[in-house]
Amino acid sequence: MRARLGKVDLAISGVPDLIRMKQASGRAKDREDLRAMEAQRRDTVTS
Amino acid sequence: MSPPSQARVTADPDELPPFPLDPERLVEVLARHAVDYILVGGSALIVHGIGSRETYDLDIVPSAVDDNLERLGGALRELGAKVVTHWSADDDELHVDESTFEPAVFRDNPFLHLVTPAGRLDVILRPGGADGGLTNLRPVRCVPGWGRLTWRSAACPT
Repeated sequence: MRARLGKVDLAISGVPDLIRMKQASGRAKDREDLRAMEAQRRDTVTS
Repeated sequence: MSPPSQARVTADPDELPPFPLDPERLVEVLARHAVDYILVGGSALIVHGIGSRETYDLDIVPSAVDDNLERLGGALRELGAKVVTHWSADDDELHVDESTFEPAVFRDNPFLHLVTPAGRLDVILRPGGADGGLTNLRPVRCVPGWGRLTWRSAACPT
């Protein structure tokens, strides 16, 4: 995925890779992010 | 002072005090030095529209080829980056080291916490869950998202 910030195009990590990295980290903040990602996935599936 | 190819990072980034973040300045300098990297971490989540937490830094995974690390070093020198070595909540003092940011610094410290006048930047050469670094991170289809930062996705409808 690419995104633009100011005048710069950026390469952004995809969600599957973000999940893998956060699972590997095991930090509390990353577990919280994983719950938010899972909740968003459920919302997307049910909407 | 030129350091540490062996700068030891003991600070937990979650415990560091928040710094004003100017992400446009950070990515502008990285772009001008033609640094090849991918954005990960909390700011990437914001772009994807996931969660609601704030982020106080940018996390990047650079391509690990020497030429790219040389360019990254140039960008970090221009940004006035310093390596965070320790944060003490007791005395509210952030301990930093100067660095020349030669490629060896990144190779010897695959997770560098940096502070710059434009905010905090984490440089992660070998992210957990994607041990091959940049080449193992695949682009995926666009997920539109808006966050507290003024991100605009080029690939997503506005």
